[in-house]
Amino acid sequence: MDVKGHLDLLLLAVLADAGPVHGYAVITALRERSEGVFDVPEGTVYPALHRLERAGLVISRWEQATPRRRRVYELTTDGRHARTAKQSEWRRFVTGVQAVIGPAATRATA
Amino acid sequence: MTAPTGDGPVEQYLDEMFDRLAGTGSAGRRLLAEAEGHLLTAAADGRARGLDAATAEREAIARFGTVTSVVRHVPAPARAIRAALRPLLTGTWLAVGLVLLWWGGSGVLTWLLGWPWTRLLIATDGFGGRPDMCGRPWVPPDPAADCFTRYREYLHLVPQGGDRDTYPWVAVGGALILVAWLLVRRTTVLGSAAWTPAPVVFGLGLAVPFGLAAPVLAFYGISGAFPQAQNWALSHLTAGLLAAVIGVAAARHVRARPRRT
Repeated sequence: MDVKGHLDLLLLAVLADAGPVHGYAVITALRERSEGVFDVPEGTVYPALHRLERAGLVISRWEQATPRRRRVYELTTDGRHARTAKQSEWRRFVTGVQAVIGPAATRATA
Repeated sequence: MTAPTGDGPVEQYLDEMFDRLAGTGSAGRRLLAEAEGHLLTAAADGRARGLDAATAEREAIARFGTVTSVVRHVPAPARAIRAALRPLLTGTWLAVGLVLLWWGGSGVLTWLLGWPWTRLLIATDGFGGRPDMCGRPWVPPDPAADCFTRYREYLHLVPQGGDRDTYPWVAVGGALILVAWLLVRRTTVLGSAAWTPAPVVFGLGLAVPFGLAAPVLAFYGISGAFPQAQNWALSHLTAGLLAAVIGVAAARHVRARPRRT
């Protein structure tokens, strides 16, 4: 499924729940929590994380403790606020779409 | 076991990514480091699931995405944009000077060629298409001007007949722009390779438009000369000839070696 336009919210949500975590774990969590629905090209997640960092929603640091040097990402306070706002926006969007397509359409496609 | 397999798919992938990230600065270096860590970890996971090394690396790469799809998300640093704009600025400078010189210069050349062209027209009666050009009803009686003067003054000096009086100044303006460029490049940083357009880009940027304009203008010029010579034929022929000269010179410039700093 194409997550274009929603990747920021998904990454913020994963980081909010997982805490400080490196990119590989973010991608694994994204795949596992969506049960394979969001199978994005993994390489595109890193530029997205960098973009969130430039926006001040995420901070990162190199972690040397592991066998291989890895970048660890963490939400900032602004990132948490952004996650809450985007989540509310998404829920309103889903409610609106659901109201338009209606339960009949949902049943028809089920 | 997370070591790369030397010349394996991951190593080749990272080599290609390294090349494609050239000029992206710290953002590119960081992505490359993270891509390496990610791919090696993913390949190790694949091997832990029982895949052989090469298959595990290919699977990791397939999940990561093509180099093109990943690299296009990396923003170019501001200095890279500035570096690209420098030769664009100087290239535009040169191109503007050259276009003005071509347009005004073709007017000057047509003005000079107007004398023999008009005499040839009269001598051949418009290349044989208009008998007795200097007789009635072609030339109205005007005691102040002879037949030759009236025909010559009627010639268009640049294509479409516009810019009849200002073309010398257009030519001078173009020449001054080019001379200013020569002076500036000798005395300032604008003469360095960083400010010099790539020969291929600059050459093609001129060769293509002038190369296309030349045959079109020449065609109009020739079709305007026969069977009855039109007053705009010479200006089109001259402008087309000059465009062809510039186009050929620009095409030769394409093969020139770039300047070193």
